[in-house]
Amino acid sequence: MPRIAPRPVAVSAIRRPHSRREGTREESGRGDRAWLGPLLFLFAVKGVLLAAMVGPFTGHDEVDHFFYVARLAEGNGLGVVGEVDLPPEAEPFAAYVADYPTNAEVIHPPLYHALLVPLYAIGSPAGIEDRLLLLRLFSVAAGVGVVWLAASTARLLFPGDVLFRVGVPLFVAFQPQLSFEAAIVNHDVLLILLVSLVLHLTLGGLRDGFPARRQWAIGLVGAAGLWTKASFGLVLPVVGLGLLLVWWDGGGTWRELIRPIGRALGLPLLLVAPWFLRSWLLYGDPTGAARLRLIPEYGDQARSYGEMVSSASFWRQLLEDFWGNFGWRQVPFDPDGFRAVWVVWLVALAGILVGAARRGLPSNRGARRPPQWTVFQRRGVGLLALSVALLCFGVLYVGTIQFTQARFAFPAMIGFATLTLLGVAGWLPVRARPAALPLLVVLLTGLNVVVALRYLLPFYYGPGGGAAILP
Amino acid sequence: MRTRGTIAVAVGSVAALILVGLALLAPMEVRHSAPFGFALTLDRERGIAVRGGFVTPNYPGFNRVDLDLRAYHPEADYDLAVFVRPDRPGASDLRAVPLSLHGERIRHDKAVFADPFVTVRFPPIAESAGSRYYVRVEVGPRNRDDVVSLWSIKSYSGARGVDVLAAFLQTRSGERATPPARAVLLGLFVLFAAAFGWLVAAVTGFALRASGRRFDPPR
Repeated sequence: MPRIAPRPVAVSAIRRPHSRREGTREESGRGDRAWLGPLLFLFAVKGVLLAAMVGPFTGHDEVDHFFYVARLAEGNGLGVVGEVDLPPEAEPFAAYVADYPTNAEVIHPPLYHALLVPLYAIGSPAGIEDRLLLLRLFSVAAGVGVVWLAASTARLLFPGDVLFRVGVPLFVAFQPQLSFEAAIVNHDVLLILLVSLVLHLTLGGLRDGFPARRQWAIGLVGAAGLWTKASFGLVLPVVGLGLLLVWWDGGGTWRELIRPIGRALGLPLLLVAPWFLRSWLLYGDPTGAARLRLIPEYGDQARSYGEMVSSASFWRQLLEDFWGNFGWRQVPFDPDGFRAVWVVWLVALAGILVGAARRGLPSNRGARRPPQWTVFQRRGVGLLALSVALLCFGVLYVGTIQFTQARFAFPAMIGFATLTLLGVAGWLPVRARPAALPLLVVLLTGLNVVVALRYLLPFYYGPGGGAAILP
Repeated sequence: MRTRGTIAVAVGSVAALILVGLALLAPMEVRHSAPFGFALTLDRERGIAVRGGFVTPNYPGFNRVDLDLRAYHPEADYDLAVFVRPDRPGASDLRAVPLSLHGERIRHDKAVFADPFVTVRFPPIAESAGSRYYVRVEVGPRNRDDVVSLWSIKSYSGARGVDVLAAFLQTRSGERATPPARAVLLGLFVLFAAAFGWLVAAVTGFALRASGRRFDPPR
């Protein structure tokens, strides 16, 4: 069975930074269970609460996704954008539909919606809002999976650094908009889960090699991702680069590269080909982007890459969307809240440069010098950074078609978290890092609580009536 | 080892208690329900800007408005007054707040990352929940000939977290007409606080182990 694996010489070049054999209890990951269990539990409780708090059908595209599921559950087939209208039950929520009465989301592949059909069927005796709540719980479960993968990926990359091992999953679990994604009905949460999984598998391959089983696994996850949303394709170059790096280290021949590439990258494209072909026949391109451009008010907002990149207001909007605009931007943070988060985040990210300087300064040698990264760690962080760059490019690409949002980059959230913690690590001496962990929990939980109490709950509920734009 | 665990549990318990105490009892300003957070008074399509607009507090204790004011002389000083009155015929102003601003703060072309809002606080209006109020801005004599307009208004009430949560529990369970819904939601909030304490304790214990601190008495 062909296998991409580092040669013995190369293995030493991609050696494990703190091998599991040498690891302490914490380094082995077993010690992580003590805090990972409570974190996952807290995230799940927070997710269920959010699912109950957020007004019915006020999540972005939630109406369309819900009735896409309903359509499949009722045996009405996939549908074509422009020909499929939302049912009368959706009318009260028309303000939350991009192209009412058309269901624009049927342009997307149906894996997420098909997975929800059994849940929809279980909830069908109940009212529409209870069914919505039931489907939202699927998103909560997917979100728990994302947090677990964040912890697992951080432990894979930095087994000896507690700041990363705890900080990365904390960042993911408490990023307000990711939690929101994981509490509404939307296929993006499944996309985030599958991208996180494929990145984890790829980084694992970078460390341990890519046996055939891993190649198949990546291929199947990739197929699932493409059947969830075409934008999963943005992460395939990361997989390809991971394969190439390990193949390069192993000194293999071109012929030895063909099968792994075929399994990990060719298989998903082959499996999703029927859907792309269908979209091409129906809309004139494999992803249906041309049809999306026709949505009034959304397509009108399309701009060139140059216009977006050079626009300060575009970047401000992206930053606001990334952290604080809930439900079609209806529930934003206040400007002081945004600025507080941005300042903290930018200071954290600036630590990347500080950390690099501390490593490089001649005066900073010996015990004060931060630990050096191994080749595997450098490459792993590089691949995560590449995933961030590619998903950000995806945000810009959507902006050339229609109205775009920062949430399209959320599948790279583990990359965002790792880069942020890399910055935090730049400011913190190694000895001080453990002490920062409880503070991080308190600060991030505090952010979530304040946002819920000051903005989210008062938007929907109040003694005088909330949800100003709901019927 | 036992001491380390005790410290972790103590830290987690105290953190959870502080979280619950602050979240429920600390006074804060909650923003009223409005699309995008504000009541828009500017009619951009028709190019109409005015000096007043309506807000509907959904909480009692209405005590703050944030005004997106626009003026055209950045070098000028503006003497303004903000008035709040109920939206009913013949109602008189309930609050009047003088406001002195430099033109730079309310310039018409505000920087992209600038906070466009000016905060105005006044004594709380107790029975404000569900009522509509008209908020208007008037200019003083020295700015009589200057154009000042109000593009949007955000409004707030002084409240405590317990009021916000109570409103949520009542509305949510009221909508569903099932008393158990309230118990389930309340239970979830309790679980959230407990899980937070558990997480803080676990992370503290982990951090203590990782830092290699020893708290056990010497044997």
